[in-house]
Amino acid sequence: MTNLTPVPAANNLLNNPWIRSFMNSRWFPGIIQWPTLLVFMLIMFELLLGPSIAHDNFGTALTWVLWWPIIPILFLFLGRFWCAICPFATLNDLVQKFVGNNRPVPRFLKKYGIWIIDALFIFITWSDHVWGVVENPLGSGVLMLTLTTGVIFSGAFWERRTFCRYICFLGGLSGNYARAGMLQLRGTPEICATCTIAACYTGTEKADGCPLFEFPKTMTSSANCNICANCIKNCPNDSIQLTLRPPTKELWFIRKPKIEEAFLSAVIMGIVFVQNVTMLEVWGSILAWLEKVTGTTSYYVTFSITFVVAMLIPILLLGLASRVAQKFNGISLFENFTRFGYAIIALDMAGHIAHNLFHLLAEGKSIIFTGMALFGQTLGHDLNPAILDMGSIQMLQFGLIGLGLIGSLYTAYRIARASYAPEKLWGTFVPFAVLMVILGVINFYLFVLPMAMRM
Amino acid sequence: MNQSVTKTLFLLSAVFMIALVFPASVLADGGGEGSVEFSQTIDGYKVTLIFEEPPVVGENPVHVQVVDETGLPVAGAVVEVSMVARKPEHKEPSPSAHGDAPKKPAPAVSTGHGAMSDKDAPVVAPTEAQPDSHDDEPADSHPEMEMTTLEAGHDAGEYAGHITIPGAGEWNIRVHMTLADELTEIDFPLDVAGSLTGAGILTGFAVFNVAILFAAAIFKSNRT
Repeated sequence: MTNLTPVPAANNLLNNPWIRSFMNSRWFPGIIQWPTLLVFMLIMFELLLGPSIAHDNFGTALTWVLWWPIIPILFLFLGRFWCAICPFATLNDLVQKFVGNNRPVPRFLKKYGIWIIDALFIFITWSDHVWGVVENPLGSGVLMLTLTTGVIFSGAFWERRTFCRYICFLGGLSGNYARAGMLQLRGTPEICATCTIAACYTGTEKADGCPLFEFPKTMTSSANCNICANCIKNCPNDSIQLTLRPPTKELWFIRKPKIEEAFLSAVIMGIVFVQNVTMLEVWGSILAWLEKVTGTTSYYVTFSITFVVAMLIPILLLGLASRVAQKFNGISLFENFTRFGYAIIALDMAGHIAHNLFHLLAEGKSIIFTGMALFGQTLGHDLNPAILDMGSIQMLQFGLIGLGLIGSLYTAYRIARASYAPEKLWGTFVPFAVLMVILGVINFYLFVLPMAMRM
Repeated sequence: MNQSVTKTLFLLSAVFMIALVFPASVLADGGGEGSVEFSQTIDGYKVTLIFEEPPVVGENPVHVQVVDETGLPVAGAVVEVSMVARKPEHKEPSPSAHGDAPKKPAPAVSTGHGAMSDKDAPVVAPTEAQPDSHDDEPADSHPEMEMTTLEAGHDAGEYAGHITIPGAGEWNIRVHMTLADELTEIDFPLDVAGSLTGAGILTGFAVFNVAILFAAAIFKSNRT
């Protein structure tokens, strides 16, 4: 076993003895995983067997009023840590322990995994609106059960957490957001360079190897690191560092940009648009107009049109900006699109957090009301579920969009600076800056309009 | 047990389990298709709400017939319908309560749930109509869905259109009738149950997942 003196990073959180001790402990992350799994089981019970009206369902409140708004905030501050404690991951590990076949990941998953995730994310968002998921406890329950089935199949037949890495619809979103997040885990290059054990990847008697197939020695992205600390426990050389970084920093220096990840960034922006539009009080008028234009009252048709248009807007705008930038930097539209798509992620996160902040702060007390109803305590149907008033919520939303816009603008600038010669910098940056401003203005406008409740 | 036999057994089990995942709805209250009617007399007008087919989640064709106290059809009224989520009855808290709405004496109408709609629902005895039953409720306590205006039908005194039932649950169908500048509102309670209950869905998925685990265990034992 090699015995190299680590070169401590200035802000390595593992230098703190409490943090190091906790993350090295056999209780981490299990001490958080198991309660999360129990809460998930309660949620499933409520969704499937509880009240059929979303307003009265504790499972709906916990999932869509509490968990969904909080999760992008978690990604921002703790990277993909949610994935370490996710009940599906725990279930995968349990299944694998008892009946796992541990077959290698199929090639088609490795090649098309992100596209599959993109498609699933789009499909689930679409089906939420036309079949009812968020506003229908049974629909939410069916979604969770379907994911559970996928997890069980994956854990039973494939190695590690194949579902989490290549299939989970949330995986793509969390990967993109984790790149913009503030927590980073890496190996120390000087130490890893001479290591021949690779215990971080293969595992030891202390812990399994990386569940998401990452190799800290060569890892350059946080997209697939769930901060589970297996590598921290396994590394014999104390090479692993856990550091804080400015948000979006990883996006400035992406070595191998991928079109499917850039595409997902644009799609998420479109989904934020459509989620906002369908919650506005003017949505009824928009629907009526679409019904008149299409000659049908079928919601499948009218919503699908809205959905496609909403997603196409950021994709086409990104394409247009890439085309304009092409004239200045001589790089292909495809490459510009792929490289700068990542810059939208900051606005994605901001829009996502801002949208769901409405539900958390305007409907947050419904978690208490529905929870108390489990014990037969009804406080009445007419109580105000809001934690904050609408004016304050809107201010927070505007502030978040403002921060997201600054983040996206700065990211686009840094990508341009890192990728192109100085004489091409402004000609490359300006089209994407205009794009970010347009997307930011659209977001601002959507948050100015009054929004309807979820619960 | 050789591998091909194991695989065949697994496939047969999987197909069998898949067949159980989406059970068709079964209701005990008799069968047969047919219209469903609700009637109420108020202020001398008899208002009858008719579903041409048993109500299901989603869009339903309806028509409303209005006759006066002499039995003559009333034409020229403006008739609109909307859905209102019904307020659950207040009851003493019990240890087993999960916030469920109390059970109604009338049997529920079988409905579809989104894409898994079952139109072969039995006819249901309508529950008692409630004229102006919401007077003592706060105005904004129960979200009312958008109103649909019914057009004058073929016959005098008949008004036809469609109403969308958003989902399973306890609803009031509110008929708003404006005649000679006077508005009358009547609530017709309707219980809409999902054809696939949560317990049925859970059971189906559980069986399917057990089959997966069973198959995985067999494959694993064959490999070791």
